[in-house]
Amino acid sequence: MRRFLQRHVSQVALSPSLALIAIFLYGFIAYTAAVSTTNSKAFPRFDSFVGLEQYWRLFHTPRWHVAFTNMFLFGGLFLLVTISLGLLIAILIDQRIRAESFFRSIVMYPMAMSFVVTGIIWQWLLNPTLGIEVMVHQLGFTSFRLDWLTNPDTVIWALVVAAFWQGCGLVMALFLAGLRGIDEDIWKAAAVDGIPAWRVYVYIVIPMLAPVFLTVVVLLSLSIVRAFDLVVALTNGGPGVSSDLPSVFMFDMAFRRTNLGLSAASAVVMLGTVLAILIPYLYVETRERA
Amino acid sequence: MSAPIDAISRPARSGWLTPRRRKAILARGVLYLLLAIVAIFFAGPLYILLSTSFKTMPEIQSGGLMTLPHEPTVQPWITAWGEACIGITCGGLKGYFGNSMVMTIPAVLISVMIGAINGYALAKWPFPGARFVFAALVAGNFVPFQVVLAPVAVTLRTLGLFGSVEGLILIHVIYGIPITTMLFRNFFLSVPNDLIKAARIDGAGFFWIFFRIVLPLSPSVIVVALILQFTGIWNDFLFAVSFSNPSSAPMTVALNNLVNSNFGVKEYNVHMAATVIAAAPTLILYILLGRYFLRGMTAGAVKG
Amino acid sequence: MFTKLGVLGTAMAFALTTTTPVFIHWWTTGGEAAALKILVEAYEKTGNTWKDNPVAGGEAARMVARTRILGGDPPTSMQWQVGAPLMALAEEGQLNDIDAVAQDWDKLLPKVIADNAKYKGKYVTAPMDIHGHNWLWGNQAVLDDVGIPMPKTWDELIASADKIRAKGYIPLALGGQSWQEIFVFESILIDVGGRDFLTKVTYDLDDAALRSPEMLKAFETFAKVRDLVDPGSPSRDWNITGGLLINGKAAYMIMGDWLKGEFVAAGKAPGKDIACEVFPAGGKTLVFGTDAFAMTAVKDPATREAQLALAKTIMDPVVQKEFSLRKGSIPPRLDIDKTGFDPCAQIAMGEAAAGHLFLVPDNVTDATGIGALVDQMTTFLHSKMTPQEGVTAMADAVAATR
Repeated sequence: MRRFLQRHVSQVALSPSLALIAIFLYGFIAYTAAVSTTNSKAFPRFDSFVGLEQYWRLFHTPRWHVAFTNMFLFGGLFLLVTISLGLLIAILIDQRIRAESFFRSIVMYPMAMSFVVTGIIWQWLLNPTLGIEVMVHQLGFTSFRLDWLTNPDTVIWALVVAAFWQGCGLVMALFLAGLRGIDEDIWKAAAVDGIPAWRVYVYIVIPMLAPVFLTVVVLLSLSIVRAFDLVVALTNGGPGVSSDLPSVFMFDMAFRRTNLGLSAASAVVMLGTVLAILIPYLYVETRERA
Repeated sequence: MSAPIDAISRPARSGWLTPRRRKAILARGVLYLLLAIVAIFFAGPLYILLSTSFKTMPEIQSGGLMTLPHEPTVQPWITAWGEACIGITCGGLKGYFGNSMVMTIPAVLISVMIGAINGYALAKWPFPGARFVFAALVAGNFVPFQVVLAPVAVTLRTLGLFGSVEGLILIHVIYGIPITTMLFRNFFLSVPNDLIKAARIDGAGFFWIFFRIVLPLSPSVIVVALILQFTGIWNDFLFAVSFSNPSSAPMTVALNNLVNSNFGVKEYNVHMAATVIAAAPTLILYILLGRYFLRGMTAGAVKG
Repeated sequence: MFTKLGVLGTAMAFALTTTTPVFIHWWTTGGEAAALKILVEAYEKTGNTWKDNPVAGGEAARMVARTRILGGDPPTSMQWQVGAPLMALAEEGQLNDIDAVAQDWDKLLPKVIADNAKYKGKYVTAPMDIHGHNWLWGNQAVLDDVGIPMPKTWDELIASADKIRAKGYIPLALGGQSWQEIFVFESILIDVGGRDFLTKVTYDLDDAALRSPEMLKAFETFAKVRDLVDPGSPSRDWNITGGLLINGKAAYMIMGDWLKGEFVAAGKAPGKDIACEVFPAGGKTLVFGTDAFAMTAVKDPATREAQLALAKTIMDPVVQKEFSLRKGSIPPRLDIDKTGFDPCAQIAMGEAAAGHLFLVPDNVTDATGIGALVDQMTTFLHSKMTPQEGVTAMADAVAATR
């Protein structure tokens, strides 16, 4: 017994966590999948098996298609904007600037704000009768229009900007840390060869930051899946249903429309989609560096 | 520390305003201009929160959000902290602050501790399938919390913990495991294996090495994990509103009741003061520990 | 794993005792809280204590209530609404009946409320108020300036829009969120085909009605609403939208009678400074919702007593009147005298007495079906779809939920 413990101490130490995760994540995912095959309304009940009917219903719900497409649209834009600008800001801050800690703190403090607060703040700022638009008008540019929140075609940008404001600090910090970890000799060598700085960044430094991207993508993807609070506080899914996301759809179906079965089906589809994208990525990334 | 752009092109002997020198100054100018834009974008919302929270309601209605307060008042802060009505009780946010602390501190400490042990086990005592275990931990984390409310409620009930602070702590600890484990595993990968091998040859055990060798090396990653977990748990609304009861409700629940009320004139100044109060502990944490945060990342938390 | 949880989840009739009676509601703001205080004070005079558990937002409050029930810690009573959502709880065995104190309620309440507050013939909830939805409000000063009377029909309203615009006003103040837009849509349905058509479309979700020529006409009118509103309309909160009406920037607004609270706060008298009309006039239909406190299925005798005491307090004539005076609603009890109520509330009381109440479809129809209708309604309004496309999209989306 003692010997077993000694040999497998690592697994033994992990096992309580694994047991909890097995129940609270995977068990509940299975539970959700089970609910999605029932006609559950206000409460889960398993005596109303309907097979895949909820999935059929889901795929014939126009609003779901909007929400599902938005997940990719919002997710893609958010990843692109946050990673590229986060990296750029990290590079700017890494130029031995004055008051570095001041700039760092300013970029990082929004991380302390919840998505709810972020949504509320940006709703005020983007409100055409209250926020930025009014300010620009006061400066004399009266033809200026900022209608992101009220235009169904651009409302997704309002979500992206707010999410970027909140999430950029973490990305910047991760990249800045990565930049600081890079060997200074590279810069000396480049200087000797007379290679311009931007080429050093593009061809040498950024590829060396590849490991940072795994952490960044995982953390930002979590924000995309959990952007519920942000959408509710910022747009509430509107105008119309144009800024709906799967998490909002899911909540609405479960608690406003009292259709737990349909809600569960949407959760399963969303989770399946996210994992289908992430698992190959996780697999490749962990293999390279394990 | 990587070299700055102008250091590369800096001439060995600096002549006054040679073309290269001029170019370097120009580059610096552009750099600070960009940084100023960045600073305005990120700091702007905080400025609006703070300036509005010191204004009177008539001033807000007449002036818009961007101006500085003409007649600064702290009344909105007093109201938000101790007088604002939430339902039929008018006691502001102060009664909920303690609830939030009692819930957040143990949940943060326990989940960071568990994450540290898990990360250490996965990174330094690998076993067949360790990589799979890690991937499963990270992937399962993508379950949307809205759908686990029902099973979590039933489980908490079975454990007799529903509505209690202990129940909330348990839930936050469990759903914090994937993130903290990921952070620590990635950090510990960068700790040299030789140290641990040497200790093992000397007969040191799993926990001895953990507490005596590994943990002392990792204050920075601990800070990162503490900050991220504290922020996440302090700011959580969904679990808080679902699994607390009126006497254990944390601050986010009260803030939501205050700010999201849909009727009547919106008291923006009180709402903004309340928002800042609710975010204050996390803000202070970032300001105090920000430098360690970055150091923690640098020390290797970023390795994939 | 999940079968075990499923058993737990379906074994619903919890016999847990709660030590202090807890009450969940979403009346968190000034006027609402003032109204609630009337109830709480009267209730505490019966020797009980009220443990307040406010949760802002109806959905969030209902989510909390349901999670509490699943977690075995049900509130003593929770704010709900009469109709289908309540029946869904009752079918799951989650509600206690309060027939012990409800012997004469059938005589006191409008039939539609009584029917929808009972499960299998027994009252499971006590109705607190009646809020009308399809009200047209008009800023009298603006109407006088333009020189027009309050319109009686949608045709009249649309016809007056050019005159209103010519004077520089917004014809219709609308907050572009689906729950606000549906009030407009429902009043158009009444305008087009009367109460019967509204029933067929929103209660029965009848496919033939959804594809009928009347529906096309309704969408043609609804399409014109796009031009009646200002560019700031999409996603705007209802109370900020109300400000446009109150401050004389807009001529009309269609919104529930809780809007009166905003008038009063701004020093404007409903029925005088702000004209009111159940819209369309002569439609004999006042769409309404009724807040009610549902009694959870607790078995503990003390808690049972608390529930009965609450039910009795809610139906107390003084409480009914004083509550509605502060809330802007009208009392469900038909025997409350009209003195003290504003002219608009008196109109509503007349409608209720005349049997014109029409329970809001949300509380009657299958939530997924009516939800699909609402989603398509709002999508249409914020798009450039033609009326015919709107009709087809809505009918198809509703059909898919069957």
